[in-house]
Amino acid sequence: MVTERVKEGFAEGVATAPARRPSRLKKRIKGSVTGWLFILPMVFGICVFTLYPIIQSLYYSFYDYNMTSRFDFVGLGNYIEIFSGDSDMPKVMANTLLFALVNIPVTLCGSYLLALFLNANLKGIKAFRVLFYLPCTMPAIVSGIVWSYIMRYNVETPGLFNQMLAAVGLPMSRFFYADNFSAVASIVLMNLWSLGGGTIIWLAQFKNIPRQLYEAAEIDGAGAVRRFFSITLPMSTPMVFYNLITNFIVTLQFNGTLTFAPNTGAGNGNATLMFGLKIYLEAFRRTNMGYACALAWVLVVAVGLVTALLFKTNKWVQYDN
Amino acid sequence: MTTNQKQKIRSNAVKGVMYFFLVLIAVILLFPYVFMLNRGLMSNEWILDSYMHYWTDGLHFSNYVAAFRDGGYGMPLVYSIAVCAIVFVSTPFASMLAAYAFAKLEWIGRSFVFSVMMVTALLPGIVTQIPLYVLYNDLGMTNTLLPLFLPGIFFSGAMNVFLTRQFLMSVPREMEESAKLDGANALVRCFVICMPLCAPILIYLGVSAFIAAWGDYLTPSMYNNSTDAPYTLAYALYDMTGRETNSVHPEWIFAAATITSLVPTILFTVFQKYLIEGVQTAGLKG
Repeated sequence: MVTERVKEGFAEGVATAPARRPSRLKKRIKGSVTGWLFILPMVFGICVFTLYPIIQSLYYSFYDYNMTSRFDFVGLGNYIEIFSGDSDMPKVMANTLLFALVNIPVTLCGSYLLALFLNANLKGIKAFRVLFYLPCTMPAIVSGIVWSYIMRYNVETPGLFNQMLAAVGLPMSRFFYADNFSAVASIVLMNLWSLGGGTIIWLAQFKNIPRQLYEAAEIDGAGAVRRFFSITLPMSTPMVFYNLITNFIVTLQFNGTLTFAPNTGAGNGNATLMFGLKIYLEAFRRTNMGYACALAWVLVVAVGLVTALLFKTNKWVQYDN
Repeated sequence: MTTNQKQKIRSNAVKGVMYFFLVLIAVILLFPYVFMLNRGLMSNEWILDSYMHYWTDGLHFSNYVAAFRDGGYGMPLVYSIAVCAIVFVSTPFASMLAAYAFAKLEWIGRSFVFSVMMVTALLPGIVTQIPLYVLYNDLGMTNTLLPLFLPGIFFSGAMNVFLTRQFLMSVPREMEESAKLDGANALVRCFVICMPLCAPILIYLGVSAFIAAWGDYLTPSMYNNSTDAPYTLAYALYDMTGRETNSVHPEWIFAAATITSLVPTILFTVFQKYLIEGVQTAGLKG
């Protein structure tokens, strides 16, 4: 056994000589067999469930396809429809942008502040970290149901929030039943209850900041506020950047209104109709498969552009550790 | 001495204020959850009262039995458990197999396959979901539970494979050397020697895959939306809230919703060490 291994090693050493190159390639191919066998299931999975559908969806996007009777080539027709024909689209774009511009800063800042608070050196703080996270363990469909009761708008049987508003003498709000921008605002309000999810990553980032920095600052006489702005905040910028990108990608695909907003998530007067939901409804409610695929590809390009733009402008991120 | 005492009083006051706010925020954050718990325990008259009550009128645990026996949530619960059990096992195994190939084996095309895999992580899911519906439909797999777990058996997701690979790379080579000398093949080295060492990350992957499948109403709403198809608990909640039995018995919705929420809550509380660590490494490495 041992002598064989030595021989093998010897052969490998000799193989570097130019004359024996073909046999070395052979050896590499032979050595690759195990690796290929290991990766085969994954490659099969990626090909069948990811790569094939991606190509297929690009192909469908040039067709008017409804899975039963129609399969007509329309060229760029679907894409032209998105940008100039579809009367829903201006509203969809406005809602998605508004939601992204309000929701992302609010969730990032909110969870950051919460994490600063949870980073305090207090007895029992760990229990609070778990408590603050618990609302995030509620599945989206359940919180959709619960929130549709909490924010219910009905003059005879008002939901909890409207009961509270009435109790302090304020007019009732329609929340996500509204047909204007306040519908999107109530989704942002609802999202505040899942801030605990974001704090976990911030807390990990805080733990990674070297203690010596704080000690040095304290010796220099820097106060708590100064320490935050010159150490904690700059040292968290890589994480801010990561969260910004992932939040953008998630927000552009958001279709969670499906679980609580009226009209299968589109809201009254399309007040909560956003890009992700629009694709879902076109594909799975109206079976406009070709058109939905074109929309999905617009989303892919948008995600790519936003990511590239963020990477281009990431000079403010401090990658020094 | 007096300044010292003053300081102590001040720091105690600061601590008091902080605890006050911590408790206040906890109460606010937990109020929807407690609302759900309460509504699942209400009597039928109380929940149908024209005034929306927050607190329950008693502990009507019989709602849970009724919801799953008469409310139509029984079979979905069974299907949910079946799908989640499969995903709970398949995700760590599939991740381990692929990650071992990337971290420990040499083969031609490794870096190419790896970069293709990582690119798939950036793709919006909806791009693949529409043609997959057509594919499943052609294969007769719509309105079955197969689309909920079949893809994951082969490819568990780029991030999962990536995290397992990172973990495996920190496992020293010597751990495998003696087994290699004893003639153990790669499969044995992967699953008998390396897999137990990767337990923390694999537990994270398995439990979070379970929680994700448990709460997933979207995939079933795409691929099995026919009324006689088997569907999971999350989809039952999504689909049945509009049905008549539920407007007569809204307490059943909330009883089923309570069970649907308690499972991930308990899993999180039990496995919080692994889950928090997993989420943190996923965030920091990404």
